[in-house]
Amino acid sequence: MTSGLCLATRLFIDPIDTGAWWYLLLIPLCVGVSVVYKAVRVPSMDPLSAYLRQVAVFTVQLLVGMAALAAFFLLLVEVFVKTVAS
Amino acid sequence: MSSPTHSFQPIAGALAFLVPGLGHWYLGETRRAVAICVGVFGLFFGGLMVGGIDAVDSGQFFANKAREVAARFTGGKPERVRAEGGDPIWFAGQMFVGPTAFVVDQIHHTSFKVLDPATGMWRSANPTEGRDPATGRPVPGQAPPSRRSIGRPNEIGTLMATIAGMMNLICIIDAVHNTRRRRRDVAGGGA
Repeated sequence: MTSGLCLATRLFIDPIDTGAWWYLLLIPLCVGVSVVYKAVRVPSMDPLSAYLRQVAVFTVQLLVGMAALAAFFLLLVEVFVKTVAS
Repeated sequence: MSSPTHSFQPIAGALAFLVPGLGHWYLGETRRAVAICVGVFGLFFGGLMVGGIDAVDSGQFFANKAREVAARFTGGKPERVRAEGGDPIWFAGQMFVGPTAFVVDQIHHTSFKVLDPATGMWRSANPTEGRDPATGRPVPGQAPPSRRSIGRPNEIGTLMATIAGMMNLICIIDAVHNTRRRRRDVAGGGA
């Protein structure tokens, strides 16, 4: 381990060590996108619970969409390309 | 469906650029403004938290352009700051967060980068280099002012900060062309 890695992480200055769990950072990314997108998209913010429900639904839609794309490209690379190559 | 109601609000757009959500606040849409502010700043500072301050780095591209424009008006010679690396294309998206992005970029440049005496260019400090606060020159054998962001944290941090800017651009356009009532009239609008 280098001396640089031994230093404590200073939030907002040093990058965090995500290790193998980096893909979980897509969850806050999708939540942030949903919060802003739905804020300009919903006709009314009243009641707030309806807006929050739309945010939750859109977050899940984004995550499922990205997972489906990841699965598609995994199949493409691991199965289709290898089949064509062989 | 009734006729669309469209209002052009340039002041709201300017305010939305200054502080995310302020444009909608100006238009009287307080809840929407709070949601935009929380969302955009959450994404931007979330990106900084993940990728460190290295996630926001214009490489002095825009600052140099501003100096060139200023020099054209004053008739002087622009003082170009030479910086190594940087992500000016990503910063082109991040800058729509507003002055916050420019301030973070400037703090990154003035407080965390070192002036390489060999090349005369500003760059990120190596893992075994400190920074002399007076001259900005690297000091060997000390801890760096900030750890360089690489790999996935850098990718996701930069992406989050850039998406924050792009989302605020949507909010700026929404504040300038305030078509809320038209959308309310459309059946199923808001989905």
